[in-house]
Amino acid sequence: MKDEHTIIKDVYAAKTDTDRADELIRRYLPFIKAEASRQTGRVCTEQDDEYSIAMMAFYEAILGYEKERGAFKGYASMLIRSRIIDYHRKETRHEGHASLYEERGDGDRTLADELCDDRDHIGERLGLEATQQEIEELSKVLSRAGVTFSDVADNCPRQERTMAACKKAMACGVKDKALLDEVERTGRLPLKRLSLASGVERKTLERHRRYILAMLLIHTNGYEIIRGHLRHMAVEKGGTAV
Amino acid sequence: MRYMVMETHLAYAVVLGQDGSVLKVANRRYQVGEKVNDIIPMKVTGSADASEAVNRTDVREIKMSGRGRALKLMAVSAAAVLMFGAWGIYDFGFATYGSVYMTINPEVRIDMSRSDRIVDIDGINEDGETLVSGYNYAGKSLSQVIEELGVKAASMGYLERGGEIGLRIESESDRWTAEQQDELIYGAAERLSDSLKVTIEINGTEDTVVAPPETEPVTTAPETSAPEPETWVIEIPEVTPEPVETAAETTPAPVQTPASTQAPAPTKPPAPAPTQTQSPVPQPVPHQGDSGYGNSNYGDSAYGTSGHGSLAYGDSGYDGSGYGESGYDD
Repeated sequence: MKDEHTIIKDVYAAKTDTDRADELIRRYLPFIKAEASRQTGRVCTEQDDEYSIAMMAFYEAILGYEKERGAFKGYASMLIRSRIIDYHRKETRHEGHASLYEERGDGDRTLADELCDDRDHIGERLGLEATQQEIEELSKVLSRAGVTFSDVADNCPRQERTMAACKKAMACGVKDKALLDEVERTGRLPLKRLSLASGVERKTLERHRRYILAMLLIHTNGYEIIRGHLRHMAVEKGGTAV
Repeated sequence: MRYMVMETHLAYAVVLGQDGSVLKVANRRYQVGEKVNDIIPMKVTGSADASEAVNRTDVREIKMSGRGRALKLMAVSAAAVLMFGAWGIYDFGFATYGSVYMTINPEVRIDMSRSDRIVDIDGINEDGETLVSGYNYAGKSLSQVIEELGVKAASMGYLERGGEIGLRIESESDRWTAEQQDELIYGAAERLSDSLKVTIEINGTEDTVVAPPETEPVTTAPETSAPEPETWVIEIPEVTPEPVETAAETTPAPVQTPASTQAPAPTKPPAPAPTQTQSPVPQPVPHQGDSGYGNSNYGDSAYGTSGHGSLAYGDSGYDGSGYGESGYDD
């Protein structure tokens, strides 16, 4: 009972604080691993997808938990179970397909090892480092505005229509150099200007303020790789960026 | 679609899709900057943001449509049932359903609920208040209370040996009145009269006739009982050695009225005269005479409360149950 009380307190603290969430998850790794193993029917290692999924489900449990509705562990266990089942259902689609990384009979070599590999590993490595630098820089700018990527993810529109409205506003923002500069300098979003320019309701913009802020920041100077990543999609669809 | 990993946590990673969406996904040992194809998105996304929290409750309300509505309905109906249940319990156990007036000289009103639980005891006059002050009636039965109050009254000097206790039962329900009457006759009255040697008169407000006592009176004083509607003094029961007590027990219905003008003890025989006048019924049988009476009128004003009792006597034939009405038909 006492144990349950402390969990509840920790869980509620972790809902709003990602660091505390990480700490709580770390403390419950054995529980998570055990639940994942129970579901998969074999010992689950850290290399397994099920393990990652179980951890994510545990985090979902932290966010979704309401103490009025029962014990936390039971809820977490249930979520882990259903997420792993979901995953397995999805995976059955790939049945009958050989995995590139499956070990074949002759030794430890996998199919991927034997296939011709024309990728530029060194180039990729360098590219990755450059990307990391950009992301780190963006993260710093965002944190000055009190925003993390997790916040942006939470703030991201889920409905297509809302997303379209946000994109419309962002397109207006990107064209307006002065506005972009202001955003970069102050870390604040001039909602009124944006709303007037794009015709999108201010309320909608307000609701997704952090997401729009992050996206506009990406379109300021210095984030070519990330922008390239986004533009790639836009080009495929034949539209304009963002 | 390809996703760029923006941030990694122990349990999840934040990725940026090529379409500009930012998602939380399962962290499959990703590293920041990596581009991945296959993601397992998180289903619940919570946040500390208040406005986001509001959004979430909205979503939940929308989701309530199906099962939630059924649950709501169930909750409401459960509440209604509870309320009615509570009301029923209150009505059955706590609301005053009838009262018993106990008159020695101190006059006391005992309020009772439908379940025969004593709700309240009040002194009606000053002596009555003195008598009941400090008396704890919780959990006691009516007979017990009457008995104890009788004893208490005796010890306080209100009641002497050979004295009288008047009991009057008032209620909307005839049946309830009859039940209480029975209880008093066989319970308190008997014991009190034994211990204190007092006379007890029990007067139902409406139909006073009670079946059980009838038989005895018939044997003892058949003639007397029949004709008299008004006054009944039942002090002398032949059955028991002590006349006073027995009378009380045996005849619950009849009222011994010291007050009544007509002869108290000896009255039995004279009774017929009043009956005739009052009762339209020609027959000699006493009950019928009674039946003619408006029962209600009886008790108090005109007849000096006594009238009722007589009914009981005469009708040997009455069933206890039928008492009130049967008389009427005739």
